[in-house]
Amino acid sequence: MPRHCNKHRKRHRLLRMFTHSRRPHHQDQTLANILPGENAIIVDFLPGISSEQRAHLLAYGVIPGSIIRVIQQNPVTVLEVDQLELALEKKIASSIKVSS
Amino acid sequence: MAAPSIINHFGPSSENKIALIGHPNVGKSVIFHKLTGQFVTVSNYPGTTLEIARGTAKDMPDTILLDTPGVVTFPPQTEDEQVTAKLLLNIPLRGILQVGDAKNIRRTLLLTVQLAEMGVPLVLALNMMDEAMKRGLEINHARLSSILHIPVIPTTAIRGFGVKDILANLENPITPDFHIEYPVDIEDALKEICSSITSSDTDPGEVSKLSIAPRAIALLWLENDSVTDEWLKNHLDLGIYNHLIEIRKQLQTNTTDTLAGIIQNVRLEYIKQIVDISMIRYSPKAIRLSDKISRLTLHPLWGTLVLAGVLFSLYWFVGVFGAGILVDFFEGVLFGEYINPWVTNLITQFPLPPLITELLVGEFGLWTMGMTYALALIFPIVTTFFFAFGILEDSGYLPRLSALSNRFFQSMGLNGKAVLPIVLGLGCVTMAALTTRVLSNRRERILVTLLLALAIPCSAQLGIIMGMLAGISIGAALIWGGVILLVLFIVGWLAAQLLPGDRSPLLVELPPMRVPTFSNVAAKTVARLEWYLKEVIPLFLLGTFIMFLLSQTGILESIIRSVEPLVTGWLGLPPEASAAFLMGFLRRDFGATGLFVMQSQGGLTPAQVVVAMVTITLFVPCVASVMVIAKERGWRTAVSVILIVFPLAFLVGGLLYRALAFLNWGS
Repeated sequence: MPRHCNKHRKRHRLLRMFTHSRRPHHQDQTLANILPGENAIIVDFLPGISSEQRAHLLAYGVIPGSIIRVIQQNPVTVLEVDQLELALEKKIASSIKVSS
Repeated sequence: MAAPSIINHFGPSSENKIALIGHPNVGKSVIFHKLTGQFVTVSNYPGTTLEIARGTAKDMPDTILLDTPGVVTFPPQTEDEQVTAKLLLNIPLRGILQVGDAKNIRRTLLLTVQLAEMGVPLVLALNMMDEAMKRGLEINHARLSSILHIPVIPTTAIRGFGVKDILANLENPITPDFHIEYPVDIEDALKEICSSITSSDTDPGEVSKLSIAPRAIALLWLENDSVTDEWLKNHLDLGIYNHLIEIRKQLQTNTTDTLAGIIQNVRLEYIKQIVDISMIRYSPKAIRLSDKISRLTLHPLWGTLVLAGVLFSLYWFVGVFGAGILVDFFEGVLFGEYINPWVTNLITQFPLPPLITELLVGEFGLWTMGMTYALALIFPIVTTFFFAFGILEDSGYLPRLSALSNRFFQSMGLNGKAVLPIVLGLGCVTMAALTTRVLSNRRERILVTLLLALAIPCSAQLGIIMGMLAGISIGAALIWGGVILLVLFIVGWLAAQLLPGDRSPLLVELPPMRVPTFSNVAAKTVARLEWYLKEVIPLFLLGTFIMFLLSQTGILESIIRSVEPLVTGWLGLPPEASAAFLMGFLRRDFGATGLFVMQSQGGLTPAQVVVAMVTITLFVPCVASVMVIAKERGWRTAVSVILIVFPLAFLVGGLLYRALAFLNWGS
């Protein structure tokens, strides 16, 4: 299995080399931009999220300041927070501001 | 300081209820089962314990346990979460048993803290200890217990571990002595609200009868909880109620964050401190097999293949094994060769009037048609379906399916969560119409209800359809499936365009994949079968009786003749098929069964079978599900659904007949 992981990491590094210029500026980074396998810190929620969904995210532990790990981005964003996995649609992921 | 305790002044008779409260997927229903021996019929994927289930604890005969739907957020945000808040505000409780997820201790404690603030005797069961240990988490439950002043019991309920300790602690639950200090302006407001609601009790005793502390109500009020709002509006003097609104408004104008946000942050800060001193993480997380499988099920390519595999297994188990092999045995051998001849023989020996004999064992006999359909045809099919569904449910696959299918539902103005009622609808549309409550708004609930009523065949019907189509060819099954999917998609898309409101994007928890335990799946299957048979047998008997009356009075003849142009002319079916559609009004599977009998007697060509199956699939849902739709969504919705579904079924059926005739398929 570790071999497989390395392959993934390599591919991501390559991907990042090519896509770096197009990646949004550091401060505008959202959960949707984080590559699978990487960690990020939740910064804030953007207005695209309804108050109900914000409340649910908070209840699941997606709280400003908490560290999350992105597991995959397609077909939906899957992230891990504490010992919990959440699947989010892109629309939500791109409304969560993060820093890496 | 303890929470103000003007509580628990109600008589002993009202003090014997204990509520099980917790997040979804933490094993509440399993613990409820272990404590009471009862199973909750619909449960185990997020939000499907829809009603409060009651049961008597095995060793405490005068104690009633209440199993509540899982809450993600508290204060509640959705309709199903509100059930728990309503229970806390309206039912006097002797205690609360919180079932929590040991591996997600932070989240668990956020609810614990709020329940402890309510001042009701509280016991915390930290469940799924085995999973926490596998992840390298060690929780010092004794320390937690001494900090929170409540019993904290480590459990692995699915293996029965810790259940005895829960029972022992529930016998004499103690009121927690617990207090969190909020910022001073919030504390001042809380004091003012508390004194207002306790002093202004218009309906004497209403507030003091509450089992939860006024301080907890005041907190819920500041957090803008709608259930609390309704309760206070109903129980307080209007002047006082307006005063409370004023207090909240005043407090809010002085802060930038919402009051709920500030209160939650204080709680989270407090929890962080206790977690830091009561939990050790001793080894880095290793990659587990369940994680690997989980990744696979969500992979864009592999996930689709897994889904295809799951669907094929479901088809094989329910369609081929259940509807084919088992039904052949039950109907052909057991009932056909032994039971029915024996019953007929027995009845004809009694000197009964011929009409009564006909009613019991005739063509439309209560036994030969009603009970035989229910027990020989439907019973094996739903048994296999519920068993398969139980496995899917307990494995944790369904939430992953909702993530995978999100895109498909997106185009219908829904999100992946809709897959849950839809898959359950493949078991029983009536049960599924109830679970539309898990969807987040009214628009989505109506959309899914319409799709359920229109294009989702229930397991009984599906099994018969599969059996009939498998008897023809794979092509027949593909045409049927293709047409139904197309209708589902077009109607879903159109309805989404027409219904006002916005789609809500997907947000779903993915619980760990687990190997289902046989005893759990079996017990659940039995509970569901019991529910199902109680509902289906009376309807089958009623349906048979109506058919008997119609046939005896000759009305059946004339109805068949009057709808003949529609059935023979438009759908191209033999005239006797009208009877099946008539039966379909009562239950769709009942109608399909009628067609099944026609086919096995060689009365239908392949093209006719496909047309009949498509029409009866789209046809009105059974009486029971119409009742549930009316109860859940109102009569107007129920009537509109029928008015859409009925003509559409015949329209599609007729068009398909013409298309197949044009292609010269299966005539």
